[in-house]
Amino acid sequence: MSRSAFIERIKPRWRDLGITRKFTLVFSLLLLFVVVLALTGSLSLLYVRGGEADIRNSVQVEQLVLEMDRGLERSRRLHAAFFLQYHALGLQQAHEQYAQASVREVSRVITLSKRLQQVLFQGQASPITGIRPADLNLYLASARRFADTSIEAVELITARAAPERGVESRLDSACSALDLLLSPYPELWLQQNQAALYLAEYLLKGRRSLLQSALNALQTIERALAGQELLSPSKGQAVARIITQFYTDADELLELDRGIHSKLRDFVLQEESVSPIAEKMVQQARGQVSQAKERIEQAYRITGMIMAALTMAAIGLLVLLARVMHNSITLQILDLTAAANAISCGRLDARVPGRNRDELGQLAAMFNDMAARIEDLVENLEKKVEQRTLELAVSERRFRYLLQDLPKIAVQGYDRQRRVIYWNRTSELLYGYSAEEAMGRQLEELIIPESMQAAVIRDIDNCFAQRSNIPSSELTLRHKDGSAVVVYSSHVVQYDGDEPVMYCVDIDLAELKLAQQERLQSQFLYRQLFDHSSSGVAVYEAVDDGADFVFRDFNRAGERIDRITREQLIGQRLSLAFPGVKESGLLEGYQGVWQSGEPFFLANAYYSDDRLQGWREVRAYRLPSGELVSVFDDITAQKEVEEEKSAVEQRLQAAQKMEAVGLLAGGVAHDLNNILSAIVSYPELLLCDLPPHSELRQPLETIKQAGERAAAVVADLLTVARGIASRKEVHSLEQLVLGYLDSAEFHYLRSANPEIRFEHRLSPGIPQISCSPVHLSKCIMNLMANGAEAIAGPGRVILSTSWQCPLHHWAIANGLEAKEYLVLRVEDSGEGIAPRDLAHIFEPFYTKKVMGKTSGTGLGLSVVWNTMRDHGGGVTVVSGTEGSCFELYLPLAETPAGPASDHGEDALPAILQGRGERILVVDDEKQQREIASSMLNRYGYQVVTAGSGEQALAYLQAHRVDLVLLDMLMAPGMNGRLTYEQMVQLVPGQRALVVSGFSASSDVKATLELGACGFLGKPYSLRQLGQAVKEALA
Amino acid sequence: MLTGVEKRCWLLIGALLLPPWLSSCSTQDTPPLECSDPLGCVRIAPEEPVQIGVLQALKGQVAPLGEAQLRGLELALAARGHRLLDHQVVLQIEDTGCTAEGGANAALKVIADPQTVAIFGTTCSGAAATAAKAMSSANLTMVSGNNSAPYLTSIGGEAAPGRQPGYFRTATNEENAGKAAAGYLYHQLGLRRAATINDNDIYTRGLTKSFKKAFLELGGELVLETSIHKGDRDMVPVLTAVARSGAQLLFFPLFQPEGNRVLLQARKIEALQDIVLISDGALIEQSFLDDVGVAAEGLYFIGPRRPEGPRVEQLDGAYRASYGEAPRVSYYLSGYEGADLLFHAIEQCALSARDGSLLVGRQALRDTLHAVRDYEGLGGSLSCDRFGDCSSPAFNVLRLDDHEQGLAGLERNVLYSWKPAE
Repeated sequence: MSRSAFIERIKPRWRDLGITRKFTLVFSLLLLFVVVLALTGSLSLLYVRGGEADIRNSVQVEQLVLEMDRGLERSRRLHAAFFLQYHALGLQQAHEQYAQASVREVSRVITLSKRLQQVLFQGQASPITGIRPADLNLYLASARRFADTSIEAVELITARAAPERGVESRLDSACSALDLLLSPYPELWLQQNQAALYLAEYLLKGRRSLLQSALNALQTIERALAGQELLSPSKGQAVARIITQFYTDADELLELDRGIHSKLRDFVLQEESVSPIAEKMVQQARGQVSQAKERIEQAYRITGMIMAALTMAAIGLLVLLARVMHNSITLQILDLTAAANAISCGRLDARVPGRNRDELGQLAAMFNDMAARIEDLVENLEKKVEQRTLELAVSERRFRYLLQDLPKIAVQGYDRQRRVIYWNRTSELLYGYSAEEAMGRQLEELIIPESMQAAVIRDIDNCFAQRSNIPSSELTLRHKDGSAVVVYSSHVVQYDGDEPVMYCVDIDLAELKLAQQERLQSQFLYRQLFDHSSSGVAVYEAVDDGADFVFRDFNRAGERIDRITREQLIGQRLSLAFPGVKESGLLEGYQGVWQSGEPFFLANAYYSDDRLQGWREVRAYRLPSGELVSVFDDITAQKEVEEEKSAVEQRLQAAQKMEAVGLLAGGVAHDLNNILSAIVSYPELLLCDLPPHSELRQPLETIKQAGERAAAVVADLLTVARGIASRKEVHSLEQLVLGYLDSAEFHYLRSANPEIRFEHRLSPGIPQISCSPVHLSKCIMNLMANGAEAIAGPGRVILSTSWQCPLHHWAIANGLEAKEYLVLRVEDSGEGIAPRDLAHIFEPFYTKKVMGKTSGTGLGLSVVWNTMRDHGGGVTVVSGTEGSCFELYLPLAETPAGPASDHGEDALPAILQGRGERILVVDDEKQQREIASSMLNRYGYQVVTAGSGEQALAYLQAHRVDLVLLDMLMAPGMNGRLTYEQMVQLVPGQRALVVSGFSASSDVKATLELGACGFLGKPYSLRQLGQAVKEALA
Repeated sequence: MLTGVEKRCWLLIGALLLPPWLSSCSTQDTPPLECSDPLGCVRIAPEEPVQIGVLQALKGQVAPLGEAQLRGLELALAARGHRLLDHQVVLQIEDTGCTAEGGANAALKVIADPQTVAIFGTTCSGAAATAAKAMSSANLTMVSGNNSAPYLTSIGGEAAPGRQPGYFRTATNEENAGKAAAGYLYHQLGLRRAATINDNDIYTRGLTKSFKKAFLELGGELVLETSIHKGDRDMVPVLTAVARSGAQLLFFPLFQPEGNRVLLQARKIEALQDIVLISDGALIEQSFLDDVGVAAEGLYFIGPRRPEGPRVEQLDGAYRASYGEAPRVSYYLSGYEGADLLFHAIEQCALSARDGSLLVGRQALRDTLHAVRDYEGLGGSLSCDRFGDCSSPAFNVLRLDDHEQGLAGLERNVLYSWKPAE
C-alpha cells in the first residue's frame, strides 16, 4: 500500500475520532518515546552500577589481601624475634615484647580476614573467580592457624625456658645439685662436669647427640656408684634421684624441641601454601577491575547511540503530530471564532464550514443551528411582544378584580406620604370608609388609633427611606364609627415605578377572636369540672401501641383517693406509678378501651401495691383525640361495711340455727332429765341402804353410771340449747387448766394415745376470768379429745394460754368486742379440718367421728361454742394441712375472786347433814317428789311435798318452810317462776332452790332475779342435792 | 477524578521509574553502627554470641579456687538467663596454672581472637600480673573476683607497679590484710616476735611485706623473713630455721600445696608446737582442710570478710541447686560479683542496632567500669576507683577449732574483724 493511499484510508477514520481520543493517541505516542528513553537510561544505569560495584569489590579484595599479607609478615617477624631473643632478654621480656605483639598483629589480621570473607561471600559483587573455594578458605583461615601455631610454639618455649619451672631450669638445677654432691669425688665430678658441658652445648646447638653424651656421662656416674660405696647412702640416693629426674627432664626437653621444630616447619609450610593464593587473589582482583571498566565504557557507548537515535525520532514525530493537531483542532476553533464575530457584528447569516465529525464538528453544527434560530427569532420578536402585552393586561385586570373582592382580606395602597391610593372592597366593609372617602386621605386619619399614630408614621417612613420591612403583626385598628377592628396586618413595598407604593394586607380576625374566646371559656369550664369532680379523673396517653399509658392529667379528687400528687404522675407510666394495676384488672380494661373505643366499667376493683390498697369503682372511655379518661371512686369504706354486714348476717343465721336446735334439744332434755332422775337417784338411794358386800351393789352401780352418762349427754344437749343457766364465778384459768391436766379424763386420754405428746404452755401472771368452771373444763376436755383424735400416729397437742387484746376489725369479724381477753389455745398437728366441714363443725350433731368412739355425739364443739357465747366470749378456729388451732376468747373478770368455797368435791356427806329444817318439794312429777323426799330425808331434813304451784302456795299460807325446792316446768297450772312470784308476795324472802330438767333461761333467770337462792339441774345426785340445799340454807 | 486513560498513564510512568529507584535504594541497607572508640570496637552480628575470655587456674591443687570463680561466673550468667543483650554468651576458658607464664600464654590465646569482648580472671595474682599486661596491650578489659595482691592495682593510695589499664577486680585488695593480722597478733595475742615465709609470688610476697611493715610499726620484731619456691616439697629446713629464730608466730601466706606441706611438717616439729601459725585466704577452702585434717586445728587465717545477707543465702541456694554440693570455698561470691559487674558494664556501654547487632567500644567498657558507683553487690555496694579496685577492704581473723566442722565452722569462728574506718 502506497503512502498516499494509506493516508487517504486513515483520514476519514481520523476525522470520525473525538478530540479526547485524538489527544490520547498523540500523547500516547509521545509517552511511548519517553518510556523507551527512560528504559534505555535505567538499563544502562543498572549496568554501570554493577560494573562500579565490581570495581569497588575487587579493589577492596586487593587491599585486604595485601594488608593481610603485610600483617602476617609482621607477625611472623615478631614471632621469629621471640625465638631468637628469649634467651637474651629473658622469657617474660621476650614474651611481652615479641610474642604478645605478634599475637596482637595476627589478631588484627584475623579481623581483616573476617572482613575479606564478608566482601567475598556476603557482598553484592561477584566473588573472585579462578580460585578454588578450598584455597580461598585456606587463605582466610591462615591468620587464625598462624595464631594457634605461634601460641603453641610460645607455650613450648615457655615449658622449656620458664624460670624455675622450665625444663632448662630444672636440668640446670640438677647439674648444680650434682656438682655440689659430687665435688669431693674427682672422677665422678669430672663426669658430672662433662654432662653439664654437653647439656650446655646441646642447649646452644640443639644437636641430639650432645644431649645423649650428657646422659651417657651421667650413666657412667650411676654405674660407678652402683659398684662402690663412695657416697653415704643418703647422698647416694639423692644423686640417684637427681639423675633419674635428669633423664625425665632430658626426655621432656627433647620432646619440646621436637615440638618446636615441628612448629617452625609448620610456619614455613603455611607461608608456602598461602603466598601463591594471595598473589593469585591480587591478580584476579586487578583483572576484574579492568574487565569492569571495559564493560562500563561499552555501556556508555551503546547508551549514547540509542539515546541520540531516539531523540531524532522524537523530534520528527513531534513536528508531524503538531501539524495533524493543527489541522484537526486549531483550524476548526478559528472557524468558530470567525463565525461568532460575524454574528456579534449583526451578520446573522454567518455560518461555520463543517470539516470533521468530532466534538468541534458537532459544535460547529450546533452553532449553525443556533445562528439560524436567532435569525428567525429576531424576525418574529415584535409580534410576540405585542401579544405578550395584551396577555399581561388581561392578567393584571384579573388580579385587580381578585384583589378587590378578596373576602375578609382588606388591601390598601399608600404612597410615600401615606396617602391612600388603593382601597379594596373588603377595606370598605372592614373600616367603614368607601373607596371614594378613603382615596387621597392619610392613613393615620382613617384607621390608626391616636395611641399608635406616631409609631406607625415612624415605621412607614423608615420603610420607605431605608427599605426596611415592617414586620407582620396583630393590630387593633379603628373603624369609621370608632370601634376597634382587630386585624393581622402585613406590608409590602413595591418599587417598580418612580414612586414606591406600600400595600397593606389586613386579615379580619374578628371571627377568629370570637372562636378563641369561646374555646377558652370551654377549656375553663372543663378545667372546673375536672378539678372539682368528687370522683378521681385521670387522662392518659397510650404508649407502646396501647400496652401502657402515660399520665397527662390528674384531678384533685384523684390525688386525694390515690394519695399522690399530680406533679408526681404527669409523664409517668401507669404501670410504674401504680405497679398493681395489672393484677387489679384495670390495665387490661384500659387496653381494651383504647383498642375498641368501647367504654369500660369495673364496679369492684381491688387495687393493691406496697403503697396503696383499696377498692375502686372505675369507668374508662376513650376521647376522640385518642386519649384515655378514667373516672374512679374509692369504695373501700363501703366494701368494708358490706363485708361486716355480711359477717354479722352469717353469724345471726348461725345463732338462729343454734337457737332452733337448742329449743328442740331443750324440750327433749327436760323430759329425759325427769326420766333420768329416777335412774340416777334411786340406785344411789338403794346403794346407801345395801350392805357393802351385797350382790346387788354392782348392778346398781352400773345402772347409776349409765344414768349419769345419759345425764351428761343431756347436759351437753342443754348446754347447746343455752339452757345451762350456769352460775359464773371468778376463777383462775390456770387452775382450771391444771385441774384438767390432773383429771382422770386427761390421764385416760394420754394413756389411750401413747404416740401423741401433750404439752402445755401457760402464760404466767394472767388475770382471772368469770366463768362456769364445770363448762369451761368440759370445753377444754372436748378440745383436747378432738385434737388427739385428729392425729393418726405420732404427733402433739399443745394447750396454752395468753392474754390478748385483738384488733378492732378482727374482733368484729369474729363476733367479739374489742377488749382484753384471756385466750385458751389448743393446737394439734393432725391432718386438719376440710374447708367444707369448717363452716359446720360447731353445729350440733355434725360429726365426722365414728359414732361410739369417745363421745361421738356431735355435741362437743357445739358445747364449746355455746359455752363461749354464754360467757360473752368467742371461739375461733384455724385449720390447715399441718393441723388445727382452736382459740377460746374469755373475758376478764370485772371483780376479783371471792373466797374459795368451803365445800370441795371431797366434802363428806356428813357435812351436808341438815338440822331438821323443813323443806317443801314442789314438782308436778310424783316420782320426782319421792326421789327428792327420800334424799332430803337422808340428810335429816323435814320434807313436805306439793304437786303444783297452787298447792305449794296453799300450803305456805298456813305453814312456814325453810326452803322450797321448786321445779320450774310444771303443767298444767303455774310454772315455777309464777309460783315463786306469788310465793314471795305471800312470804317475802322465802328461800327457794330452782330445779329443772331444762331451764328456759328467761324463766330461770327471772326466778333467780326474784330472789331464788340457786339452781339445780335434773337429774341430780344425792351429793349435789345435799350441797345445793346446804348452800341455799346457808 | 482521574480518567481511565490518565490513570493508565500514571501507572506506566510509575512502572518506568520503579526499577531505577529500586536500584538506587538496594544499597541503602540499615547503616552499620559507627565505631568511634579510640581503642577500637568489637562488632557482634545479630546471630553471633558475645565472647568472653575466662582465665582461671583449673588444674593442680589451686583448681578449687579457679573452679569457684568459674561457677560464680556461671551463676551470674544464669541470673541473666544465659544471655547478654539478647545474645548468647560463649566462654573461651583457658587454664593459667596459677603461674605468671601460664597467665601470659592463656592471655595470648584469648587476645588472638579479635571477637573477645572482655576477660574474666584470673585466679592467682601472679598469673594476673602477666595476663593483665598482655590483655591491656591488646586493649581488652579484665575483671577478677579472686586476685587480691596490691601489686595489681594500688599500694598506699598510689598506682601499684603491676597496675594495668583495663584491669578491675571485685576481690579485696589485701594491702591491709597483713596490717590486720599484725594488729590482731600483737594486740590480742600479745606476740612480739614473728617469722614470715612467702613463695616469691607477688601475692604472698605482698602479704608478708605488708605484715612486716605493720608488725614493726607496732613495736614487734621480725626475727626471720624467708621464702620457698613453688613446687618445693621439703619444708623442714625452712621450718627448722623458724624454730631456731625464737619466733612466737609464723605467718606463711602460701597457696596449696606448699601451704599444706608447711603446716603438716610444722606439726611434726616439736620446737614449733607452741608457735602460733597463721596463713591467708588462699588456704580458706575445703580442699585444704580435707587434705591437712586435724593438723589445721588451731591454725589462724587472715582473709577477706565473707559477704552476708539474703542475696548471699539466695546465691548459696542457687549454687547447691546447680552443682549438687555446698560451696567448697566462699570466693565464688566475689567471682559472682566480678562477673555480674562485667556483664553490667557490657550492657551499659554496648550500642545496639535495629537488626540486633552490637558494638562494644573497648575504651567505653573500661570507662563504664571506672564509673561504677554504688552498684549493688552481694554484701554491699561496689564502686570502682581509678586503680580498678571495686570492693571495700574488710578482713577477718579466723581460727579452725574443729576440723570436723569444715569450711563452714571455720568461717563462723571469726575472732577479729578489721575495716579501714576501724
